[in-house]
Amino acid sequence: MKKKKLLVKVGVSFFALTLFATICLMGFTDESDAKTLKIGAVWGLTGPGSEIQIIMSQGEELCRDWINAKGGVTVKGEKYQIELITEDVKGTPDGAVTSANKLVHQDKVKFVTGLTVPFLAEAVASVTEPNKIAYWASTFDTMTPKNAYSVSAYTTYVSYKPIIYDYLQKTYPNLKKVAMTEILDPIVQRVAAVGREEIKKRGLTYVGNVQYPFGSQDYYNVLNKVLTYKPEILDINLEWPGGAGALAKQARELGFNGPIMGNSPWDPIFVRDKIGSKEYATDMFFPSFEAASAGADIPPMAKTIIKQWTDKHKTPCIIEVFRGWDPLYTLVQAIEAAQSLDPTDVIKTFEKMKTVDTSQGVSKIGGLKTYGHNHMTLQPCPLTRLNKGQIEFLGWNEIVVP
Amino acid sequence: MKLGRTKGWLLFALCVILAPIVFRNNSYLLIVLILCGINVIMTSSLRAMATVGQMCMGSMAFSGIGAYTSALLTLKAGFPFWAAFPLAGLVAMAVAAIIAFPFVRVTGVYFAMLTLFLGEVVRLIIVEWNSLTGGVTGLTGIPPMGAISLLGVHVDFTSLLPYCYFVFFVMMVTLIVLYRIDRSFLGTTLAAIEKDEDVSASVGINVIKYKALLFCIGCFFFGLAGSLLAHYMRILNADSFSLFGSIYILIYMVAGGRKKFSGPIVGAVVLTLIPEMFRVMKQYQPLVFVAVLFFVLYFLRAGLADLPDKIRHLIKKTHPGKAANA
Amino acid sequence: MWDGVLQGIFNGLASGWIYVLVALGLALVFSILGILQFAHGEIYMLGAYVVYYACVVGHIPFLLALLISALVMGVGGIILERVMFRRIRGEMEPAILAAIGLTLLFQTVAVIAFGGYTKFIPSVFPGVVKLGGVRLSKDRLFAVIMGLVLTSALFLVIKKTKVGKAMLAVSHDPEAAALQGINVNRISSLSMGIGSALAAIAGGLMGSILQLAPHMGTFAITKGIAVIILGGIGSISGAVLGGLILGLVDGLIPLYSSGTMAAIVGFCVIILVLLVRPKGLLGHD
Repeated sequence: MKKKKLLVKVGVSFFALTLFATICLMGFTDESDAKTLKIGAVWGLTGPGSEIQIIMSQGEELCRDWINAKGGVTVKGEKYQIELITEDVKGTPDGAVTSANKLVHQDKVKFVTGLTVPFLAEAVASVTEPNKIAYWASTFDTMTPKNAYSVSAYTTYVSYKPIIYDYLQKTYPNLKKVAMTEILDPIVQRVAAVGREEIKKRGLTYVGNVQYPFGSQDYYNVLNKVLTYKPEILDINLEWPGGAGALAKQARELGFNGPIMGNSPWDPIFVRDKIGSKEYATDMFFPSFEAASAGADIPPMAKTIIKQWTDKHKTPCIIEVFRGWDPLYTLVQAIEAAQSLDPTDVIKTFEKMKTVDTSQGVSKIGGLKTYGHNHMTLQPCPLTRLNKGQIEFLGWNEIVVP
Repeated sequence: MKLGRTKGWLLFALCVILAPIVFRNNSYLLIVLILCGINVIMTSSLRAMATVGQMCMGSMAFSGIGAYTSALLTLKAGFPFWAAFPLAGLVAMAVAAIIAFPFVRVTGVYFAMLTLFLGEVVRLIIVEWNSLTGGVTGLTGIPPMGAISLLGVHVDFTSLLPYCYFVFFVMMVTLIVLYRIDRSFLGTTLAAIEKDEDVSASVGINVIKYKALLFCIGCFFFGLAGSLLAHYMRILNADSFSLFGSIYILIYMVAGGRKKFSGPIVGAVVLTLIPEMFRVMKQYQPLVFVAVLFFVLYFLRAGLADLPDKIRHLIKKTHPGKAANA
Repeated sequence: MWDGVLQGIFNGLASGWIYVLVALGLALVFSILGILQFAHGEIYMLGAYVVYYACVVGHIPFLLALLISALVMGVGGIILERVMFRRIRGEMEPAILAAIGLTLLFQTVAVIAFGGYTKFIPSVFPGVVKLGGVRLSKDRLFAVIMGLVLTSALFLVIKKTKVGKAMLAVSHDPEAAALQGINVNRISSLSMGIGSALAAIAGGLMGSILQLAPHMGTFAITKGIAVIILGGIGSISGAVLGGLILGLVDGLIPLYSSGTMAAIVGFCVIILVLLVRPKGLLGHD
């Protein structure tokens, strides 16, 4: 009996010790190699919407491979290979805070990249800012001098609104009444609010909106209500890639024939195919270009990315790959311009840079007057239109954020 | 057996006291400990409710109520944390009290469904009531706990180490309270109710009253846990209190084992640590979690806390001779 | 005030039938196995993807693809029953572990295997039917017809065939049924098979009306549970009634309030039903 008790005690203690040791090991970090540069990345790899964020994180890894293949990051004569540490934020603010803490305190990175959802980016910033870690978010909306160490690598969707409304007024000068559909999501709400300002500024008439929860599968009920406002123009704001085509198709099915304006860079081929018929796939425009094919005036960097992606993954390259590529790409340019691995130097250098290369071409850097500091990458805005089932690329537009 | 149980508790207490100090320089590990602590509070409360056979699937709703109460009181109404914290629990308990009597009349899977939908309704109300809760945009900049000076000792709870100890303190208090309830006459009554409601009712036990009481007590601790969550994250939105959150707490309890008091503790700790330990697997990490669930399903039906007993049992089986000699 | 109401009613009834299809499978499993199979939503999702791969990649006609998906997921359901659910019939806690485990497993696998480029099944019946100011897309009409056909078929099977009556017996009292010589295990497998097949068809239909996503199952399971609770577990007519009522709520309430309010109202209605009459509107058992 005694021997058995001992055995059990040994067994349980062993199990407990293993658990404890594993926890302790989590606390160990490797001695950093002088020749590698550790950069953190935060993306929502599980949870709703993860299928797209996985692509973004793969886009970032593609960028890392491309930079490392060219020799890595050169600072003061030394070449550094990038070691990218990607963490899953699980789509929730607590996941974002935990992941950011791990990167900052355990992996001891000095630079973090990632995330397109402003609310989660703010959660990450709440950890990086006090620790003076530079955070290159894919999109960051609440830029203020308080986020001194946060940079937006992609113009927020808000900046697209004036360009889209310009095109609307130019092409459909006699239509005035605008209705909106909006997802109940922080960034979409911001975009819609800016849209309403544009409507007021331009003397158009705002007839109403309908809000709906993210992940709504069926738009018929949303559209039914919005169409009771008898709009001439429909602004569908931001939607996830699957939603845009479905919204347009269902709006047309319900009898809406006016122009439909979108705000996200959806793949035009996908949207057109989803809508299905030539009569329906018309009078719809949104800020995007065909990344899947190599047509229509694509910037050189975009061509490089498309080739890298299709060579490695053998699937169509979608615009989300660019969202993952840009934060790392622009960060590395800033580091090399600063010739320093200190986040403060890098941020200060970035603020003074006039332009930076991005997936969508050479972009200006702006935001000083609007946000209090120059932390916004102003990527040129593409515009595409569906016209009787044909995809027409309307060109690139400069974004101005003073 | 009694000796073993005391030893177990001593070991646990030792870990609770030592772990934060050991990891004091690593904020990430401290956060993991804080999350473990909060999950233990919630899972143990869930077990308390479950002792009368009421499986609550909407528990995160009450955490949400507590979290938003505490956050709004400190952020908008200028309350100090020490006032907002207990109020978070009380408000959650008040809501529970209002719905308790009609709700606990329903039993079994219907009660589970009822609480599931309640959880969704609360979450949707948080989303819809934009002016109060910030809707989908949520609340940011929630004040931290702040500092206290006691007898010349100044402790700033904004930093993680003291906060971790505070969470552990609340956890120990919760566990002690629930343990006392479990082992007291109240506990025996509840066990009787679970065994057979009709018999219990026939001997004069007011089944409804006890069920409602337990429900309210459980929700009180959920409210407190919500407040703890809000003040370490400092940023809140309805996504943290979704259906999946409630289901995870239920999973922690079921995987840990409902029968033993230590079950939810083991379940919460192990299943909070697994996703953190396997971060390197990125999008494949849930597969490890699933593996643990299936392992419990097939081999450890009584829960993870049953592992030592199961090992003992296996050893007995392979050494029957020794058993006979002992 | 009445603008859009007629359209709302039609929308509601059409969506309602898809909810019914999901709910039927769930109700069947619950009646006969006694467990609430949360992973039913994931079977719906996998069914949709099978239709996608058959239809878009394999160029098989849509109806045939639906049939294939029903068969594949039906067999899948039977395997799940054998391997997992048979041993936990009637027990709530292990059922939760199993169902949630499966849900996580399928969602993770779906994201990894199917994720990325959003997939949709092209419209099989493009175009709209105009009926007195109301417009209904032909693929939705098709979904309604499928719903009617399958529900009637299930109803007939249960009322008229020997197997159906056996299923009824097991759902009332498994022990008594076993004593009567009914092979409860076989009925159990069959129910899961049929339930999964129905879910697969619902998923395929929904995938062609809207689009596919690895997380589309969450929507299905929430609606499915709502429908069977409202209508009453164990009743086919209850599932139909519950589905149509919830569909109408979703179709009409947004006209006067928001989509969130519609969801809140819907859930509150269900909570009331559960409090007052847990068996549901038309439930027996």
